[in-house]
Amino acid sequence: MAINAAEEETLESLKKWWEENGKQLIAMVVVVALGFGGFNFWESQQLATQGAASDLYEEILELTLVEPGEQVDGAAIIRLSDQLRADFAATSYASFGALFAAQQHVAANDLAAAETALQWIIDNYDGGLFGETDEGLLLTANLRLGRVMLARGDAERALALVNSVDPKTFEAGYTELRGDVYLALGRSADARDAYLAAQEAGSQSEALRMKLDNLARTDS
Amino acid sequence: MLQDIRDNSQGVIAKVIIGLIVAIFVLFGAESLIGGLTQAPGAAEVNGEEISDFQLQQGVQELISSIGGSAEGIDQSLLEQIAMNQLVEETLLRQSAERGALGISAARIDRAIIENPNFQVGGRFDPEFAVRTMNSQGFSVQSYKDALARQMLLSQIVNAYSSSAFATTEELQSLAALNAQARDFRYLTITPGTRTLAEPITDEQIATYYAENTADFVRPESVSIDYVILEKTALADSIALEEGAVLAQYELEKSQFEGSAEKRASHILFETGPSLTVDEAQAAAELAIQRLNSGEDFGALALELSSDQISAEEGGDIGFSDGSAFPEEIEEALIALSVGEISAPVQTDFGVHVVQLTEDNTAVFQDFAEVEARIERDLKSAEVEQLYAGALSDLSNLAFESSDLSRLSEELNLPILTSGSFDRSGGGGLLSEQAVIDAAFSDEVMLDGNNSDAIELGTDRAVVLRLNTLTPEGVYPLEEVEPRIAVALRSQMERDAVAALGDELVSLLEQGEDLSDFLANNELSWREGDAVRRSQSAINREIVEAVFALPTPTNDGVERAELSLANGTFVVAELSNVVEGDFEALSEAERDAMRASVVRDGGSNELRAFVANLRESGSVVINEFAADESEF
Repeated sequence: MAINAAEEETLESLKKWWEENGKQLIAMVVVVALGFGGFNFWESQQLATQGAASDLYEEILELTLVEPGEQVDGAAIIRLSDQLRADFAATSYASFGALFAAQQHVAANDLAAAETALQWIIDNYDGGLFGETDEGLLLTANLRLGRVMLARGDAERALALVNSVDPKTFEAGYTELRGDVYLALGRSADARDAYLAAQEAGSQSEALRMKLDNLARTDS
Repeated sequence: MLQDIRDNSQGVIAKVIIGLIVAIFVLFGAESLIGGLTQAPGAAEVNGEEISDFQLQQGVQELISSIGGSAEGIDQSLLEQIAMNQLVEETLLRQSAERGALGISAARIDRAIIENPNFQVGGRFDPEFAVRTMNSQGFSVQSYKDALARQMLLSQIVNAYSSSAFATTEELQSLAALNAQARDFRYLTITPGTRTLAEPITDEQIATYYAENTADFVRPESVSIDYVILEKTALADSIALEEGAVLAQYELEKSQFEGSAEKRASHILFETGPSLTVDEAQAAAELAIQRLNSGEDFGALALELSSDQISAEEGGDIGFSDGSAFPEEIEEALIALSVGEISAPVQTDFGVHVVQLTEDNTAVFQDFAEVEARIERDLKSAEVEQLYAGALSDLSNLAFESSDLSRLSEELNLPILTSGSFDRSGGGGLLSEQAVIDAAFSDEVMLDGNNSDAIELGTDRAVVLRLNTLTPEGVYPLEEVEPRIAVALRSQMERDAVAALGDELVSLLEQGEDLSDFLANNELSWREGDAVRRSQSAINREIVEAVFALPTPTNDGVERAELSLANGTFVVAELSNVVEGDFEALSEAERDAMRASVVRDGGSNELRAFVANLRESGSVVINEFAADESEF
């Protein structure tokens, strides 16, 4: 195949271009290849991390399922949950595990430890590298934290917490807690208003109705 | 122009562009360039992710099968709403799981599959069986794994909220204080009944009540109708069958029935052949019969003598026959035998048999008298159907063509009948059929005075009707409703009397007067409620609820409630003491139940709030429900 003049010219200019840019091009290819490999490695690491955390969390869920009358192995749940927070703090599973740890600490009446677990969720709530967390998690953790504070006899701190949170769709839960806090502080009229607000926010709880009935005594 | 393209395509820029296009195809496939053009709007969009109409309809089907399989009478749009809500929530939760970088490891999915009892044979995982089971449910292995992973992911996030709730001791204690509270009270009921019987009800009172409450005594519009009715049974009577046809059919059925009867037999075979001639066999059979007649056992003899060793092992049994299984000669011999009898020697191609009938399942066929009516009906049915179809068509046409029922009556030989008067709630018999009621009150019949269409009632009756008389809406005459008015007046008087007595009682109580005379005069007495709990059922619920809504009495005082029950009874209750419940004092079962309910409610409330939050902070667009697409 004969090379005509025009093609000769193109070939010539290609050679020239290669001399000028060849090294950079090779360097770029190397960088891209390394980057691609690196990303793949990172991704597989992430998947492995995610999978391991997920498996630990599944173990917790399995432990919570017991036959009626059987005792849940709270210590094992707390151990797994601690491991999630220690080794996989960047995953949502660490927070989920902490919710279960708090549950088991409350069952064992270790309220300080329950508070620490819930506080951990709030402190580590930032979305972060590993995907973002939903607002609902933060609201759940705060609501439960407030209840633990109240149970520890720390009504003032619980009130401050409730006042600092915009409850959004958790309105009914937060206002009922607010009522409980006021009742603990001896502010019956405020408690009543809060319970009424909780009913207005859509709570149809029988317990809430009884709390309200019970406050009828302050009217007369 | 082609030359231009060729020239230009030499250029570096053109090569780069073509390279880019190639790269896009290689990396993302052709869909990335053309897919965007072909999408129809779906049923909903959740944060940019579409829920298709197909998914929605699938959801509706799943919903229907989960509530028992029949969507009859359920509002389709309600079902769609519920299914849509489920789909939206599932999508929101899945997206949340994706955002939170949740995932299920491959090993975990494999374990779930291996441990699933549906994929096990005899308690052990069977890969082939598992694949078959997945396929039968419409899954490939990969799509099953994907679906399982999705489901586990959802359950991870749902459980994080719904299963992690708790109840603190303080919460349980204060709940028990209320829920297990016991209240002491006494109460007094004044029931309406006989207090005002001495007081007569005057005609004037009744007349006034009648005049003031006319609306209660409206008599609805009613009609009576003329009608002709075409019935299959009547047609059947008009058909004459040939003499003896019923009996012939009976004989036929009987013979078919008997043909299907079963007989069971045993035999002893003397097989003829080179070593045994027919005569010798015959003689041996005779001998065997003699021995049987002298009382020897058939089975034992079969074992000793029969050349048919297989049946001999079974006492000579050769099983059942419907009349064609055994050689013809044996079947003939069996007909003459009754159970237990032994035949004379029977010769067949096999040799010479001695046969015993051991079972006879020829059931007795029903008597002619018992089945005569049914057979007659069966024989006539084809003809009746034909006659009925013809008559029905005539009925329809004549109903439409003629201006009254006389031609219908003449041509179809049906009498014109007249109904009693009935309103829109119908009457007895034919008048209870909704189709008849609807037709009688239709504009066409009631206002225009035309014949109705031929109304088919089931498959064997049809009616044509027209208006006989119309009685317009009116008011029942006083005489007819007087007893009702008297009852209404009396119960009002009783209620008034009860209320007056109640007021008097309350004012006496408020003044702190001694009640004993008042109570004795009015035959009233206090009843006690001691340590009554919210949940008790011995005392009327309305009274207990009123007592539990009272404030706690102070300083040995009482809190009083007054209420009228739904039945008119007036109640006064006085609460004297409240005892708070104590969590620790409850039985273990009660404590467990209370804790479980707090935990369950808390978890489900928080999950609901969490999902609501996802919905509120995201973008959920639900398009108009596509109507009438639901023909699955």
